[in-house]
Amino acid sequence: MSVMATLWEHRDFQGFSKTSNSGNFRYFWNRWGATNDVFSSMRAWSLGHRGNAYAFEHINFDGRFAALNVGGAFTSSWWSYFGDSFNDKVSSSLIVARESQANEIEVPLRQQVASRFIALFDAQTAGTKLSRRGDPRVYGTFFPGYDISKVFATIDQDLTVQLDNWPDYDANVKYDIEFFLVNGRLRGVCQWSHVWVESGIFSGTVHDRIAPGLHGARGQLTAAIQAQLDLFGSRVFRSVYLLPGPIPDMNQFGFFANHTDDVILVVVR
Amino acid sequence: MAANNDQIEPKHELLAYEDSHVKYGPATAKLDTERRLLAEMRLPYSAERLIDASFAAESSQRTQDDAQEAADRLQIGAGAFIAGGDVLGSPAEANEVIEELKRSCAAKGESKELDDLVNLWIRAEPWLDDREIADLWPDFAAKLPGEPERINRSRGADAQGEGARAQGGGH
Repeated sequence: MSVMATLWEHRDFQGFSKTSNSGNFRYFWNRWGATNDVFSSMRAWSLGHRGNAYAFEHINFDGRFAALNVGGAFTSSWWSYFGDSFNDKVSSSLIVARESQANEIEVPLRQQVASRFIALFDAQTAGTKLSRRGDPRVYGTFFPGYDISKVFATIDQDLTVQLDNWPDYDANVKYDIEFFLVNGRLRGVCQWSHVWVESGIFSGTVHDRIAPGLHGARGQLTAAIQAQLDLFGSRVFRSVYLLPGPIPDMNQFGFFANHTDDVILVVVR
Repeated sequence: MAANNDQIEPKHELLAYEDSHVKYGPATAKLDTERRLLAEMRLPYSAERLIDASFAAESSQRTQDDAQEAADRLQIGAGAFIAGGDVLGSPAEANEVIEELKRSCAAKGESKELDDLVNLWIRAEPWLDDREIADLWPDFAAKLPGEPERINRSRGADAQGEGARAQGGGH
């Protein structure tokens, strides 16, 4: 019971190939070190599980991606050619073995999380020299180098810091949210915060001014997330996981998307 | 505020670094602007400050796990950084696996559990050349779910946004 996927060097499943199988795991991931930017076609099989296979443009499961859906309308799906704009682009890949459709609830996070974050952030920074630049991006972060065994939903917000009689500074804050079950009940915790300030004469000073508040907001974010998850009430679940990008239509063989398009929370009854 | 750099005394500390900044790395547009402003304001700054200014400031913090919650979390993933093809210990071991794969692929019916056969393929594949893969793949694929005769063909469905030449399908 697993999902298998193969990537080939050339179109129409020719040339050398690399095969992966989810085995007994929810996810199986590959970072294509020596063989990145060479793949042209891909095929996935359901070996008893529904599932999705993703081939990403960048090495950290980010950028544009090609996806295949199996175990829904199709036992096996393929891209016999990724197309000219995605040919020789793949640098990482991910297989997700899923449960039956009847047992899963899919929740797109981008819209809900972004609007809640904007309200919280703007309330906290009103009247200060720190402000948002555009809306937050919300996407999946899979097995990052700083926490290699984890999968997160990331809120990524560009910022502007105003200084008196001096040019503004660009900054950025990212929050990594981990979803997990405790005694079957869904929990969400803001696990990591990352603050960045562009280089400049006052880079360190600006960082030291804004970082404590931005890092300290993890607690408020966790409380806000947990309040949202209370919608699930006291229901008990068997598993929880994340999918990159938009909800896959399992009646279609596959799709192209970008990792910043969305991230899907899947809870398993 | 001073009008321009020409009005700054040649002995000013700032100018001591004006010609040597390259050795600290290429200045960003922002840093150039800030250096100009400092010069206009006749404010000196040190070489150490200039080096620091060439780097972004960053920090990360992690929430302390609740011990019991951490113990309850599920193991959800596995994977590999694929830096090369050497997933087996030795050529002798590779030959053994390749021969087992050949026997399994050639066997009629389902002589091996599907997951075992897939794992055998994954172990052997990096050691196979293109011709061996081409020879073995049809027999291997015939044991997978789906219609094996269609593996080397596409339904030619249009891709979504990746250009008209992208092709994919499923069954």
